[in-house]
Amino acid sequence: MKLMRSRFRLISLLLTCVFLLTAVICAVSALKQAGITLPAAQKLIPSSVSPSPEASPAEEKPSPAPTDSATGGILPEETDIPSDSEYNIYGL
Amino acid sequence: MSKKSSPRFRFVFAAALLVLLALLVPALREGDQRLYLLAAGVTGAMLLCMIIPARLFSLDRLILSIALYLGAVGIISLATTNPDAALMQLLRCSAGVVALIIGAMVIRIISPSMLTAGISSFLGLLLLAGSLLVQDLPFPFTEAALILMVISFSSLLSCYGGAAALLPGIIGTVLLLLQGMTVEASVLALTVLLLLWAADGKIGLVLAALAVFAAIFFGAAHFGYLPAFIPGEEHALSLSTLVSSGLFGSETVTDLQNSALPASSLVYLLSENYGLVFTGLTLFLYLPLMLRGTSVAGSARARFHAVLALGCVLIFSLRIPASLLSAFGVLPLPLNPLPLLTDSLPDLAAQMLTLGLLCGISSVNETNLAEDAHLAMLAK
Repeated sequence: MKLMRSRFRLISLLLTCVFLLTAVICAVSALKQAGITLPAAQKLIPSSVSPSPEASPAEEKPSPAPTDSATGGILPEETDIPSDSEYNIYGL
Repeated sequence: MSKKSSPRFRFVFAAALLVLLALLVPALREGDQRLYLLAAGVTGAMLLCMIIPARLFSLDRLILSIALYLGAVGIISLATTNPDAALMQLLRCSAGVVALIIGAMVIRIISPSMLTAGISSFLGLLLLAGSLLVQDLPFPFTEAALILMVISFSSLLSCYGGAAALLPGIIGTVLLLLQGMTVEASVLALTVLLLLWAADGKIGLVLAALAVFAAIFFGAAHFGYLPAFIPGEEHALSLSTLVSSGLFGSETVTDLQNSALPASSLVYLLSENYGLVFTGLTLFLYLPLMLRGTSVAGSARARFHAVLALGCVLIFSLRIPASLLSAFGVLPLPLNPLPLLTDSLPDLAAQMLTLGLLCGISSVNETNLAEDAHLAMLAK
């Protein structure tokens, strides 16, 4: 009975882990569908599930490059922060 | 010294208040008499169940309160869109509570014997074979059959060992696979394997059982009884329906009657009416239910009660990840309603019966502890 109870505890732990993992995966899937992108959590979702293309604001039309109002020429980048979408946590 | 109310009773009181508000606000806004009736009926029934049957039959308060709350959530998800359906759901939940009480009483009557094993396996296999032979059954009896198979397994395991207990489980899995119920067959096979490993402990037998189940599933795949696991239109529709109302719900609710989603599942209506946050918090209540069930199984004194309690927990819990992952479009499994959030009376009654068996075993555990305390007091 002692061994059985310790195995019951193991099964209980297994069930808890499976439930929590499922909850995290479902939450990430729902957030992805709603258009909120979390790069670290995206790895949990298989590639077969893709959000609707219109739902992600991060992939919307890029803003036009800044131009010089006097000459109309394109200004060079002034910041050191890369414009990689990896840093754009909330997709804004 | 004033007597404080227990945390479990406070949970039911808070849950009843939440349900009352959820039904009273639309009732005041729309002036619908049926919603007033629902608000009074559901809240009153929740509080009454926690006071009278819980004390009369020594039911486990935590399991009962979570079961009542999930039943009430099913009613409030229907209330705003279809009050008549919500009234019907109230009747179904009342029948479910009766099934829960029957389950709690049955556990005091049955004992591990050949008679118990024979009757439960015969009835379980009859229900499975019946739904295989008669295709257009108006009511699904799969849930009830699974519970009967677990009772049979526990009884055989306690009396005759693991090898004898395997046979009904194997036949049940084959019958489920022949009907194309992959999720239910996997749940039964996993339950049998985990119970065998936990209670019997012979690794050779567990490996042999694993090989048999693997051969059954391989054979089912070979002969075309396993469905193709391809993400369909219904999975995309399911995810978009769950997410459509945002985090806190919306005023406009779409009609799900003609969609490809399962009509008996209430989680879509819940999400559309109250949003993802409320739905997520509600679904998290399955976790304490599972943990309480395994705690009841771990503290059971008799081997039969321990195996039966864990079997009930596994049959109830293993379908939750499968239902959630398919509903959120992560796995291309068939879309099944979540336990207790369904408007199918046989399923709801069988799930309540499962929880009733757990409540009954918890009550037996408490009786044993009280007897121990009494004997210890006499020995002093």
